[in-house]
Amino acid sequence: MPNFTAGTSFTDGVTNDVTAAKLNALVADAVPTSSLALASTTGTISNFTASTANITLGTIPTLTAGTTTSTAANITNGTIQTLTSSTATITGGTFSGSINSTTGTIGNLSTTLAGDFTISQGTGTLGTTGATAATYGTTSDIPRITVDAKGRITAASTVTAPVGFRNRIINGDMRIDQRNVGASLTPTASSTYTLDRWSTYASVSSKFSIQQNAGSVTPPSGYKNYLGATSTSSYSVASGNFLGILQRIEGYNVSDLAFGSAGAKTITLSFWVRSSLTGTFGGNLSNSDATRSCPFSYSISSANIWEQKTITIAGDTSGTWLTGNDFGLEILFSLGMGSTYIGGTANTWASAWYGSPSGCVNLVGTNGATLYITGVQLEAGSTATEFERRPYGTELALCQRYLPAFTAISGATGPLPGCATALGTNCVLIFNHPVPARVPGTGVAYSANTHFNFSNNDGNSASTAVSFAASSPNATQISITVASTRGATTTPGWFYANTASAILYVTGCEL
Amino acid sequence: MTEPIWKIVGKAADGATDVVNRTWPNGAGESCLVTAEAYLKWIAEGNTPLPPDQEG
Repeated sequence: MPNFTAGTSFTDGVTNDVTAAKLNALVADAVPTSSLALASTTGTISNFTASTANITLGTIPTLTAGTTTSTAANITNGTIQTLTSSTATITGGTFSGSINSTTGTIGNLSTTLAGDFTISQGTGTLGTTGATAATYGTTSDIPRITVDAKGRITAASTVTAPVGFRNRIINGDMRIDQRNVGASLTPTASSTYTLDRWSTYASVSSKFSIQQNAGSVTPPSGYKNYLGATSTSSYSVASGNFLGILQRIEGYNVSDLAFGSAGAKTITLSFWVRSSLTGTFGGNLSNSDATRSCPFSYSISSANIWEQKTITIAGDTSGTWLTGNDFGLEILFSLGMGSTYIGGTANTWASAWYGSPSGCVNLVGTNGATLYITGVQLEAGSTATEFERRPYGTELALCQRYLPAFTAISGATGPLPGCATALGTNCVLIFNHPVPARVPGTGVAYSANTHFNFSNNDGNSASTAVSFAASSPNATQISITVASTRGATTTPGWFYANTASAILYVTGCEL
Repeated sequence: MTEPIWKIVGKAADGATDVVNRTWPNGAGESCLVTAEAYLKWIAEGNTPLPPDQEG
């Protein structure tokens, strides 16, 4: 084997002339004019030192310890079959073949790879996804993350932890209707109570009716009931009119919102609504003395289609907000608002009572127009969470704090709870409230006085009159006159409902 | 529907506060103290309750 000296070159037709040899010190100017093809897999090429030494289309069978390439020594389309030592390195070159062993090391790759994960000069970099680097979640908020198909977090935020009793609205899904048991009523005055916890403003009489499940449409998925308001005429709302559906929330249940202070919390109202009309509808939040209000609006884009609305409002840092067993916060859905009570800026607190912003629909202006609402939730935070589903018994008990009521159970007649005595035709009944009432009652209301009987060992006698006598948060006393005497001395007995439609409830506990 | 007229029916169990009753055309009735909100609103509208029945 002759030594190849400067100027020596291979020519076509002499391939495979060198076998089982070792090429050392392939220097810069000792460059094959064509490619250098390695026919054997047993040969070794080491110590590339020349900046222009190129090996193409060949095979480097074993890259051993100490083997290096120069920064300009290129191996293209070749194969390094085995990297046998951690010190066998390829530095600065370009490699486009494959690595067959996992024991080798590649350092300082000069190629920037495209995609979500890139390597440049030995440094790997993950592509950004749009998520903001931060800590998500606190003791009261939980993280909400979005993950793509590659398992990457592409968005992150927090939502209020869905703990129980986050909904400040009671009977928001309109399940409970102790007073009317599904019957329609037409408010003739303000503060006419409808479904439990829901009242009305009706500064002008008989312009709309309220009924649980009015019109018998299918509620939104997951709900069984809704509150339905129906306009009873085409009424032109006068300047001083205010008509609407409202719920007053007890101060105890909103005191943590810290309204009236610098720490007032943001709240979010969400609800399902459906109307025969389209357009912008209004409502408001307000305090007990009507010196602070926040009008809001929501849009109904399609007639007779349930739509879910979400309204987020910064907490009010001003005004006086009651935090005891009084009226702490009121939420109103307007059915008609006169010019006196229209104004303010939507979702902004004002030092006046605005029932709605300007430009809102007056439902009572269209005869037969309907507005159905359910799934009403008011919660702390800027995110509307899933409607809080409370057990029926729990929700009923929450309602009974404001309306101790006794109805014939399951449509059957039966005894009223409590103790009763009679002397002659005068009877007294003291009944315990199902739960302690917010305040003592100031009266009773009943389906009809003839719906109740007093009974003792002498028989029974129908009531002819019912009168309120006294009340505490825990019990109410009523006096009942019966048709025939129940004894010449004070005699114990009991009261019972003699018809399935009998209702007796305590008034004055509502807000 | 016009609200029925309240009628004074006697004293409450405290012996001091008057109790008033009213009955709606459908038979439903109410009985409350004269301090109740509903009654006070009705009075504020300029209404006057019926007097109690004469005893004897």
